[in-house]
Amino acid sequence: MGQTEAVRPHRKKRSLWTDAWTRMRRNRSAVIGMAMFAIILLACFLSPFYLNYETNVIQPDLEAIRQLPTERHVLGTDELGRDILNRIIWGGRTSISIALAATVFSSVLGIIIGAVAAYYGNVIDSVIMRVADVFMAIPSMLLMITLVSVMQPTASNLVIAMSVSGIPGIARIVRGQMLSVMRNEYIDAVKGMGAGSLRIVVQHALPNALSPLISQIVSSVAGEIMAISGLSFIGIGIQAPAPEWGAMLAAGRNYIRDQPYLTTFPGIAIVLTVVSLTLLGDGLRDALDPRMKR
Amino acid sequence: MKRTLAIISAFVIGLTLLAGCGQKAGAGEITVVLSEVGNNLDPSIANYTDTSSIMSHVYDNIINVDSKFELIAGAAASWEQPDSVTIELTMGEGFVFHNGEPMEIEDLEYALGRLENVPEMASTWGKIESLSSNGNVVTITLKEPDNSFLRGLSAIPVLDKSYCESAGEAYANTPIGTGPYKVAEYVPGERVVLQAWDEYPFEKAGIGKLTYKGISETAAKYMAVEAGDAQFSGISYSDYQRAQSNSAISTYEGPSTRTAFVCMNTSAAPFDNVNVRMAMALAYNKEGYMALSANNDFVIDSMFTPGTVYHNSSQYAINYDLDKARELLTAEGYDESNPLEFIVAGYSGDDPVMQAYQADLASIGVKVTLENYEFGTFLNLMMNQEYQMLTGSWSEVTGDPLSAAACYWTGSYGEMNIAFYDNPKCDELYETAKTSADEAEIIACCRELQDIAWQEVPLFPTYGRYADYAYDTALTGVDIHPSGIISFRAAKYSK
Amino acid sequence: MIRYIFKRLLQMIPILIAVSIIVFFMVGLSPGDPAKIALGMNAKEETVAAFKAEYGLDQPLGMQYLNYMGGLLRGSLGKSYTTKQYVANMIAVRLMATVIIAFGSLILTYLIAIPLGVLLAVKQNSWFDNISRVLALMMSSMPSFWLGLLLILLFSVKLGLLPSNGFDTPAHWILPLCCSCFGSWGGSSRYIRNMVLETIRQDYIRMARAKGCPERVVLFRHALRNALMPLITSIGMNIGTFFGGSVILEQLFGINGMGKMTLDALRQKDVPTIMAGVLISTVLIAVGNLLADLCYGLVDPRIRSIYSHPRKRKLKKEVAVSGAN
Repeated sequence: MGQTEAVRPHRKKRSLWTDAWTRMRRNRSAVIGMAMFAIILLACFLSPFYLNYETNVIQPDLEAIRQLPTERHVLGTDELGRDILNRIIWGGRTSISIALAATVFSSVLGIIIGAVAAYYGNVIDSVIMRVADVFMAIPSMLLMITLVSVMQPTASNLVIAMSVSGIPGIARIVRGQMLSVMRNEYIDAVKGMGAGSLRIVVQHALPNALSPLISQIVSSVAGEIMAISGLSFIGIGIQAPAPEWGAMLAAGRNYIRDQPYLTTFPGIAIVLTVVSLTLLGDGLRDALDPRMKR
Repeated sequence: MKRTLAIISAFVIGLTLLAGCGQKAGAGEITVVLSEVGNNLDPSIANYTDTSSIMSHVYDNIINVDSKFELIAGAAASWEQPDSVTIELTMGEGFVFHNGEPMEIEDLEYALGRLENVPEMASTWGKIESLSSNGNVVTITLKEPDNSFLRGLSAIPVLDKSYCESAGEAYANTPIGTGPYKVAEYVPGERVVLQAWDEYPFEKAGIGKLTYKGISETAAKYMAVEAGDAQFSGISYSDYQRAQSNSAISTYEGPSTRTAFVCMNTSAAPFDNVNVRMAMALAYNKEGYMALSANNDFVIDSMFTPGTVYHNSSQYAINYDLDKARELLTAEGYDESNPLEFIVAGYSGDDPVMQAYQADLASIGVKVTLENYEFGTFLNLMMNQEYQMLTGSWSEVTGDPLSAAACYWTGSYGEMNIAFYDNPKCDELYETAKTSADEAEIIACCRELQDIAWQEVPLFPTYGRYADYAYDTALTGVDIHPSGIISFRAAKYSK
Repeated sequence: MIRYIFKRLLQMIPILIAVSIIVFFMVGLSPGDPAKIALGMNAKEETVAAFKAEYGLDQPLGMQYLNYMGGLLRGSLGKSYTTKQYVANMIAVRLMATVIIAFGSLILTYLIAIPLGVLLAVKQNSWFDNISRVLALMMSSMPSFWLGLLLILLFSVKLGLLPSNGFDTPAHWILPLCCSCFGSWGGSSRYIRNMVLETIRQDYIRMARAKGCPERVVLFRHALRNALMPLITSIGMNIGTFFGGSVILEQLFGINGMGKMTLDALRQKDVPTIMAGVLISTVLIAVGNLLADLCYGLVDPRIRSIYSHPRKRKLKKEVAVSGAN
């Protein structure tokens, strides 16, 4: 480390990312998490190819209401006679895409805001951090509910409302990381070599600040999925007839004594997805943590 | 299955005039489950059946209705109508307020006079030309003959004038009434506790303490009765069936006045076109969707309460016919290249019936979006005539046929006529029914209105409901009125 | 110490003001007329106008905000548009339930998670540890409302042991609190386990053992103390989560708390109640954070020494230096 690499020009490039990948591959639970999430992602996002939304997912079948699991309907039917498994798969597509979109949105904005705050410092930094404090002071669920209540309940509004509560946290982390990175001497060295400020930020400071952020981002996807379910459960998330796990739980709760499978299976879907994301996030955190011994 | 026992006991108590001065009220306490405990105990302001149910033990109304919706005595012992715009109420004797003051004629007059300042009762107040009292008779002069006014008195409680004037706004939640119970504790939004009044001049209450709790989760209501946390609750149909096998729990099922409907905004496209409206009614599979309800619903064919003399099963009633609906729409120019699209407004969350309706409409090429708004936005949409289709339900508690007729009357825009339907013929029929003294004429007007309703379809009725209740077998004498008012005045609890 | 508390309380004020501005204008600018909603469909024009005049709704939004803040400074939370009661009274009835859920969850979480985390760290890699980690993972992945439904099904319906609705007796508290804490038991015990493990590998622990300290002292006096400090800062974050989670749990268990009050108010544009609900939750969370920071100060002798009396400072510093290592 630190020695000149010029002696062996054909050596395979070893960067933080390849090291991380190797470490992850060796971490059994991270692999399990990755595999689970990959299966879930594939099943959900390939669904338009094997499921027809109109006929398989939202078409009521008044003859087959709330049936027990059978060969035809592997997980049973819901209160409108629709196949629960199909709805869980399609609902996963909706929930995961919204969660991903919200996370990407809040991450991108959070990174930009945090980087700006760290780079310019002084007044801009103070102002941004105070505003972030204000938004972090409101309980996130309450903030989300308020935002969704005042806007129309469309998918894009949901994404906006959910990302707002995540932005300050990410901005804070990025800012903190960047501040510590920017104090490093090698930034001075790069500056001394004549690099422009944008280049410094993007090519040097930012990548080093990002690695602890990645696992945080993955975990926050899991959190967003729970949040969407919560919002749909109280009725202000995804609207019928589109399936959503939390909404399915809400709809099924009146029948919990006689047909508990209406609520059990969507709940299990949430748990499995969140578990896989958590394992993945933990694996990423361990893999990218430079302090961990190899 | 237990049947209800008696008529509303206030009437019984008032008439039998048992001078139970030395007797104390019964002991025992029960807990009653409601969907929600409101934030205001004045039944005129709160306008919720649950609140009226609770307060029917604390207040006496001017007039009462029995389970057949016949008018019987309340705080007013009798009434006469010397001419079409005059009503004379003779005050009942022996009523006493909880603070010991006897009920006087000015209290009866005040019960009506104060409505001037109650915005929720504006339409009732607006009918009164003048009020006066003489001896033990209150004379009400109406602006014009009105057949629903007398019936409306069954929702108006008698208040102590001197108390209300001195208490100001606090009168509502620390009420003084003439009923057999006093309010011992009131936590708005959470619970009401009623305590039997020992000095009640008529037959005292059989149960010492009534505690009302609000539980909004349907499954939890029955669970409370099962666990013994409560002794009386309205329940869902599946719980009603489940309760049959529980020997510690009695059940009751009876008709209610709940009327569910689908309503369209007739003042704007696309529902200003009668054929489109008819297509919508044709696409609604009333029989089919019944299985989706958690309650014991039955199909109704009129906004008028079935079983009353004013109800008529019109020959023009529309039945489920998807093909005919599609034909009508095609004739109006809607097809694959130009599909009919609209939004159905709701506010109460997941509605399986509307989802099934949406699917049926989709199968004939109609694109429906179900949108749940927050209640405020929903009301605004409705009042500003900005909605297209909405779904709702209400309950007529006084048995007044004219409220169903008002659905088609331009004078009730936004109140009963939420379709904003404008038809001079309907207005004429409503005015006649309102002012006519001839019962046969009123019935004929109602029939014609129901015929027009199915030919014009501004809104169409969907379901009525059999209300299900579960209660502790040791609880007897509960009066369950079809309007949803539950009275424990004559009830006994033998534990 | 007192100065620090005072400073923190003062810092809360601009934050609360900013929160109030954001929420007030967000709600105010959204569609819907609070007067018409409150008075119902039957209200006449004059009644609506009178209502608006009484509550100041006929003025521009900025003016309404100033009126509200003015009332707040005079100690009045206003009157609810829909229930016509004083908001302060409404809150008084509901505050206890929400506080019990939020702070009760907090206490219950750490009561169980700390011993569990230490146990897991001590028994690292045993079968107990591995199974617990899997369980903890699943526990923290369950949505609280789903868990609530399952618990109700099991304990109220099938076993008939616990009530499923209401909040009157301590027996009523058990299910909602368990739901609220369940996820954190999983997450926090894992977190504590990891922190303890990380701390134990530090050199100063080896030093303590080499000095002959009994294992129990090593564990509790040294390892745990240092492991707990980052945990205390996460208390603040957790309180926010518990407050948010209580909104959903209150609906499920029929608890008359502030979450439900705020939710209903949001649906009906009952501005005074919304403002009160959000502001009070914010204040409680800020207070929770303050308490967490104070605990941090108590636990970390380095910080304590900075804030203690100057005369004692010199001696304390020496103790602190050796105590922290």
